[in-house]
Amino acid sequence: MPKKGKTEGVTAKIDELKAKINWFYSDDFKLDAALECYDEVIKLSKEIEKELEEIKNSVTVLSKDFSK
Amino acid sequence: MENLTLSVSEFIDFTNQTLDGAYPTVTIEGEVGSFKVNQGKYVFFDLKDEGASVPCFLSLYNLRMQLEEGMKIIVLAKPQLTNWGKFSLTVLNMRPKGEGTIKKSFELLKKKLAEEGLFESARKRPLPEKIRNVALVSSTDAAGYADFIKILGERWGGLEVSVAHVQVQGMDAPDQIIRAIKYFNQQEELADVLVIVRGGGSQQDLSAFNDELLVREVASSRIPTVTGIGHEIDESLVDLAADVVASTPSNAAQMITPDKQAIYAQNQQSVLYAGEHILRQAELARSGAFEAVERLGAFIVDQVSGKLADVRTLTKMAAGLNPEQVLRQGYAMIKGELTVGSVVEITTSDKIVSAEVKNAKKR
Repeated sequence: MPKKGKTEGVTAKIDELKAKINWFYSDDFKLDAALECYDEVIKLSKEIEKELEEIKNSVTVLSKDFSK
Repeated sequence: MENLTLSVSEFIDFTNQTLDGAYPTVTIEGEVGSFKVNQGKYVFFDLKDEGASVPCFLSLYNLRMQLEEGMKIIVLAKPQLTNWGKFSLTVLNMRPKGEGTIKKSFELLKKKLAEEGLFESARKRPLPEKIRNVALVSSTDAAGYADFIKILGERWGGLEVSVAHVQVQGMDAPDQIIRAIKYFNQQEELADVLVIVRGGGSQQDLSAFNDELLVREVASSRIPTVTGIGHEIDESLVDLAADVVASTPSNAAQMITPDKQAIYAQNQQSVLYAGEHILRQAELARSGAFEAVERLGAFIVDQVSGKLADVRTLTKMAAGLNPEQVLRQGYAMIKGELTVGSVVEITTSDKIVSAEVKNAKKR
């Protein structure tokens, strides 16, 4: 059953993914922490894809008659 | 009726009641003649064809297109006998008819509204970065509506779309669209974006979107507006007044949503690049360690080589000082007193000889 829901969670995850990706190119990058961070990035990327596939739009046609 | 005697006013009222019952409204097509505006408030013109002419009246406020002599128009009107006994049509609505008139009317109204600054780029508002609530004005029967909803669903999720189902062509279309825009703008919680979509059609079909009051309503919307009306080549005055113009309904859906497929692709690429970056950094670290070891090795070799050379030189020097080495070169060693008659011992590399000194002189 398709899920109707908000995208706030998934957009926050997209932002989080961007921040984590940016870390790899920043001065804070450390090789010994990179593998752990890389695993997180892969996990996050998969979660985003799964959630975006599940969340559907809600379309409501108003009952109001605009001909009057 | 023959035996009924009426006053003039009663006759006019009776006639109007009869007309109202028989023809509450009529739709008539004709050519504009004797067009004039009185006192800046009232519009008069004749609607005519080759054989007949009928006077028309409306207030200037209700004139929603630019009129000129000779234009072909369709009017929705109420027939009426005035208190002065003059028959006329009170025009409720009108539309240009035919390519030439549609174009002429479009250009005239475009010029007028442009001079008022309605189409200025400075008035255009950017769309919100993240759109969640969409107010959609369209006909749910239209192909353009189906395209818009389909593309929206393919690109993004989680949107709340409220649809005002309205006519998107014909005499009533502008008023219905205006009511829908007003409705969305009067809500306590405004939508993030107001989208007006309609698929392609003839110039006549799309002429509803050149209605002056509708154009003004779009321009004054509190909600940022996006239009996706007709095909790429179509341009309406509503488009010019909107904040963002999409070329089609599908394009309107594209303009208000991110594309999740593009996000997947971008994420995958970012993850790939990050992996490659880690490998590059690891390679750099490894080669850096090798270089350090190599440098240390070279230093040690250099140092040891230097020491070995010193040792060799010293060894050579030491060898040169060995008496046996001197004797091997043909020299002899003499022990004893070098005075006449003394016996001395002469040592060579392979012999020891005793000899008497026969003579001794200073050099």
